[in-house]
Amino acid sequence: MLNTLRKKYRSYERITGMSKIARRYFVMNAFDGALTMFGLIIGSYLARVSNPVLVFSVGMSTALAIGISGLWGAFLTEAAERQRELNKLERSMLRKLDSSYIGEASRAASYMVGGVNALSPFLAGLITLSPFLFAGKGIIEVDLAYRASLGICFGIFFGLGAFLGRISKEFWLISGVKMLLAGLTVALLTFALNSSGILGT
Amino acid sequence: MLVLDVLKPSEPSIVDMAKKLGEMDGVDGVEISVLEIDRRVETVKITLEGSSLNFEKINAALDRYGATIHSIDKVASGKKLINPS
Repeated sequence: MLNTLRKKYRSYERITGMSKIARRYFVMNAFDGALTMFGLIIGSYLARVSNPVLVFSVGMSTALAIGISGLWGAFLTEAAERQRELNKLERSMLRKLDSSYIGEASRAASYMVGGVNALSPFLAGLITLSPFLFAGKGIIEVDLAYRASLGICFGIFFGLGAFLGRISKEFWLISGVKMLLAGLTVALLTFALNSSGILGT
Repeated sequence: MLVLDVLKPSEPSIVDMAKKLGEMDGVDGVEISVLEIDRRVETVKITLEGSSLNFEKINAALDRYGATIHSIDKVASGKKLINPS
């Protein structure tokens, strides 16, 4: 069963090259999810939100919304692009290809890309906000949850950067630091806006 | 022995196709050679040898790969091949 699935995946992968696209979407949307959570955590910290359940539920709703948006957006975009390619191929072949491996692979690629795009921000959000879950249960202090969450965010940024570095054969440390800079930019801007009173806290 | 002139999409490759056809019951050997390559499609010559080649099943397998048989160029049947070359 597992072997059949693996064989099928490999065959679909050869036809569509879907793992490359899924990888791109994974990094992009996991980064989106983690960066959004990062902003939310800093915002909550500056607004002195001391209820961890509130931070967790607001964060998870946001992560869910990004995930659903990713699922719809990526699936529909990918399905449209794939259908366009299939139509071109059908014109060249002078036959319908829906029931062929190519048609199946095309549909599988859309589902897979949509799934990856949906899951990556949701998982990034869940991992980032998990300290607030522990704080909500009284296992850790809220202050520690804030610090741990921010630490996890930086870890995710760096990890995603290092992952990209590995793909591009760039030095992973430099690539990781490049991603970290995005988090630092958000932090700096939020603190600057906060101290200027624009954020109203 | 069966020789087919087939139009197929560039992907799946002839490697995948040869492997699949070679795994079919009654097929002992497969040879695929590319005759012409276009942007999205290619024309190939598929030679199949075996003790009990089933044309319907071979056609169905090719159909699953999105391929179309243009013509049946050669068929040999019976206890002895007349001209194996």
